[in-house]
Amino acid sequence: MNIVNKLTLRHMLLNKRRTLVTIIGVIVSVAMISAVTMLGLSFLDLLKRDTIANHGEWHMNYSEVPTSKLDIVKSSAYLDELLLEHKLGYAPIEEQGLEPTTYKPYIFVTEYNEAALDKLPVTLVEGRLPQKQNEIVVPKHYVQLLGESAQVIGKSITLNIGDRFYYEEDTPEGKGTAWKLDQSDSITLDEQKNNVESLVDPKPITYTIVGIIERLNNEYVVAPGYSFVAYLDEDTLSIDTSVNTWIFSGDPDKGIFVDADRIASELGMEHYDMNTDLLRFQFISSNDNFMYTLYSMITIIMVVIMVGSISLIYNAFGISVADRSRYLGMLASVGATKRQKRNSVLFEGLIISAISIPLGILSAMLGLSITFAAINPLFQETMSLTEVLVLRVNIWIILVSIAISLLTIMLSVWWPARRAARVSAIDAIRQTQDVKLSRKHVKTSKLTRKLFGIEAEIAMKNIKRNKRRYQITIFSLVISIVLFLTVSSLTDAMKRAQFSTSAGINYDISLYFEEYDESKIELLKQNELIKQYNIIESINSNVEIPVELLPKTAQKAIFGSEMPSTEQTFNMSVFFYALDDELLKEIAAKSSVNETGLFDPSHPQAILYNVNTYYSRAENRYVTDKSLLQTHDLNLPLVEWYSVGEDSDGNIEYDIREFGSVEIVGESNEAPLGVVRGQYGQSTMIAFVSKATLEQLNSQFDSYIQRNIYMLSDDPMALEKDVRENYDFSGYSLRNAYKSKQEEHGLIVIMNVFSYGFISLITLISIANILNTISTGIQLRKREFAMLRSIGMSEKGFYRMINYESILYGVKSLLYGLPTSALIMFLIYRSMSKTTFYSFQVPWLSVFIMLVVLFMIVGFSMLYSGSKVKKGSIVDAIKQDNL
Amino acid sequence: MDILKVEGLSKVYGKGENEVKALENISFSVKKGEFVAIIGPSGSGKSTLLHLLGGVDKPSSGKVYVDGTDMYSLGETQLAVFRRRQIGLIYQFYNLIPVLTVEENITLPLLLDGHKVNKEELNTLVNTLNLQERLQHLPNQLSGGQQQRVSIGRAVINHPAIILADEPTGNLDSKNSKEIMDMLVMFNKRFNQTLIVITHDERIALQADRIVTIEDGRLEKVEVIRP
Repeated sequence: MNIVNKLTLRHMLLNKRRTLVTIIGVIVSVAMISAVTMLGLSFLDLLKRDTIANHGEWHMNYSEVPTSKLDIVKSSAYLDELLLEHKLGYAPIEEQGLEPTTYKPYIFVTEYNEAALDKLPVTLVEGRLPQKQNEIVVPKHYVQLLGESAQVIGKSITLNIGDRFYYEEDTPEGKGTAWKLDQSDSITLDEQKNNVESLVDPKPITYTIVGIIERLNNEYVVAPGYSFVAYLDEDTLSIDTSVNTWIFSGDPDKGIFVDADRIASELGMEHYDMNTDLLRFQFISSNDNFMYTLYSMITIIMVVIMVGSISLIYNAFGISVADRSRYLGMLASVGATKRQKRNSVLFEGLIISAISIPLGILSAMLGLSITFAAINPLFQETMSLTEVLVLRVNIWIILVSIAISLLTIMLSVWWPARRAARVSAIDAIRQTQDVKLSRKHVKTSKLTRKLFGIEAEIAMKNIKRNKRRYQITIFSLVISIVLFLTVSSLTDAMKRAQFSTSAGINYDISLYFEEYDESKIELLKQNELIKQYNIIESINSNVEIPVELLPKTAQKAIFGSEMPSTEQTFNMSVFFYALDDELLKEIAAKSSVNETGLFDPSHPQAILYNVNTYYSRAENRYVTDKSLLQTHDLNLPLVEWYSVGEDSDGNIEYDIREFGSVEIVGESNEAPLGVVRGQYGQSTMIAFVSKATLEQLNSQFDSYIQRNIYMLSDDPMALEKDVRENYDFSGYSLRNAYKSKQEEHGLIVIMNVFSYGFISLITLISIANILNTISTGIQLRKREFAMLRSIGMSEKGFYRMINYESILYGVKSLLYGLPTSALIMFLIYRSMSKTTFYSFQVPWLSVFIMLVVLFMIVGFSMLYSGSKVKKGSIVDAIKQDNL
Repeated sequence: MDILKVEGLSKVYGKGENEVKALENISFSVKKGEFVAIIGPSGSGKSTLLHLLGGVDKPSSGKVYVDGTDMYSLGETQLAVFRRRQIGLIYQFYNLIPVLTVEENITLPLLLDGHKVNKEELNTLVNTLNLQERLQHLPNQLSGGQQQRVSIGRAVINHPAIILADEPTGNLDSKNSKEIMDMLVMFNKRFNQTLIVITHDERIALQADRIVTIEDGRLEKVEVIRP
């Protein structure tokens, strides 16, 4: 090793504390840089695995391909595996000794070849997948019908499988159409809820059940058949049949899109599918906003990290050069060239890199592994994923991390290295680097001494004498302040925005029924998991409203710039909600409405729920306002649009007819359980009526009564599970609003984990920076402090001087940091308020925490360093020694 | 033969009202093997002159020729290399590198050149300097006299054209001072090493071949002591 490098190494060892602080700071920076790249890769990998788990691992999909044209599909240059599905047909479930339900009376059999069984989302629960002809797997929810103790694996099952058809009735115009139906078509029922479909040409096939699977993803709620999966032997396909095909490529590239087009063209197909999600996560995408957004985010975060890191490393090396300036000058006097002096700093950079980069990368891997383990349960729930985050690292990520880290370090070291090269022998001989100051540089206000004493004046002048070091410290502090406050503000805004969008959803679970079975509902009401419930029956109609009755907010939102005359009327939709008599009376009393009229169906009366949410195009954000300006003595005609034929251009003409009216007798802002403001959009109102009135209104026009139950529960997740598994409801749809809120909340928690984790690390870098700067600055002024003490400055005075310096650092960084943070916080508010409505609020708690931590860091650094200096002997410090 | 020639050397600090003429139009020359003492009151510009002769500061005007080379016509790198090989500097406060051993401090100019150290030559030098027991010590483990001897070793290791010593005994007691001066004179006499010493001490000055007196930045007189 040459002498200059040897010297550098020894100097680093001599200043262990500062070297260690620098190394730790760089490790943190490298860890953050690596973590960003690894997180990006792991996240993409997760999305890729989740896509595969939910939609299968394939790249191209051609549906209904005749077997005679399979060779065209097989001609794909990207074909590594060909997945085949043959939809066999339906068999009645009652043939298995089970009572058919109205909406799901069939078993649906589909055949998958080996590749399809492997690559399409088929999740085995028990047993194994079919491996040969006449083997079949059945879904779990079918097995549950057979009872808890049912053992199906190994059993034989014979299914009479045919095609499902619905035949329209013949009309005088001609024969009715025959519709072939599949799993996307719900069961066709007549008015008496009887199945009017036909199973055509059923043929018996006997299978052996070899396994149980989870319900297939493509078996929707409305699907009338339980999906069984059998084995497909391609050789058994007849020439006149069709199959669904998927192509899996082991090594796709951008050319896959051209190939896909070619195959479609040769097949004569206009429509086909590409697994764009999977291709995107394999970094092959023709036009992708998602990847652009992801790359942009990674770049922004990386830039922030690099800026913070460069500031730390630059400062650390600047201090090192300042500290070594005498050595460098001595070297210069003995004949070291500029390059040799510069290389001594670069060598220090390389040493720091060699130690910090591997440790930083390892720290990132460890940190992310721990973070993933901690947040995976929440992450899965929040993002509705089936897979978990797993740390993914490859050689390219490591190389990229190393490259960016090296770049960051070398950029930071470059300028101090140049300064080192310029240290002249004469500076070292005279030890007069500071003497380049002038009075102007260190000028302070006379008030400083008058108000705070000579110690404060010295403190102020000390700060001014080394502007660069002071600026770097302030910069580090400001970055931490701004990041901390803006992230706090953003997280706070998202929380309040979440409440804003989910505000008004006052229930946990809602159930909507197509088929309302009173006895089953009574059973549900007794469920112990239900804390409170409300059954709302509702119908939907239209009313003609004079425009002048709409609030200005509503007018702007609905009509925008094309405001109609206020004398005109506007067609609005209205939902009439029938509430329990007791509840309606309660609302009437609170609204000062005479309840009698509400229960007289011959003259329908309603109380308007007078709260709605509007999207203001002009202001580009959501606002809340009334539905109507008048809510008493208001007769609303109920109208219906109907077709009266076609005009000369073939356009359908409509006319409007009235079929009754309803009188609005009051308004309420209170939302009973299940009533959600803005639920139906800005052109729809909600009005409360009695059950009797609802039935009367329903009889007046061609509508149907919707029935929903809204429930509150102490354990909504358990309630949802209970309803799905233990209640034999047909044709229902369940919404878990609690889960949605939790997911939004969970998203914020995850954001908090990553953003506050990021802030903490950036702050750590800043703390390292500040510690380095302040403590070294004090060390370098050891002789001056000794002189001050020698001429009589007391210990109290000494610490007062130190304290003033730390206060000055803190105050100056606040002077820059607070306005910058306020500006960014306001910008965040402006952009958030485009989509949601909430008021601007400063996160005062975060500001308070930031103030406390800021002065603690600065104060501690100074006091700690000052105490070390104070302990030394005055004489030793004053003497001109070899440092 | 003139090993050192100075022509119209000037050094001015500051501008306008704040201008300070540290040196004004100094011209003289030194022959090879000569011992020249530079004396003058405090602030007369002696150290400034020495630094300019040593190439560690830049003159405002004038020329300095060392062994025929116009020092200030060299580029920075060339000057550094030239200084390393042709100039030996000794300071009042030693200016040793605290983290290098005695051996490393002495051989520093060679090491900067990337040259291999001739062990035999080094041993001879070290013995002459009476530092054989201290080779692996750090400067803070040495006395003032020992440190100054290390400084001398560093200055002569490359057999430079001239040795410049700025108050080499200023920080030493009388015994050590005599020892140091004896060493320097020995190098001058035995090895024909050109030596220029700044000193306040008349006894040291009287050991020189010539005394150059500087006052207020100007060359006052040149006295020949030993022709």
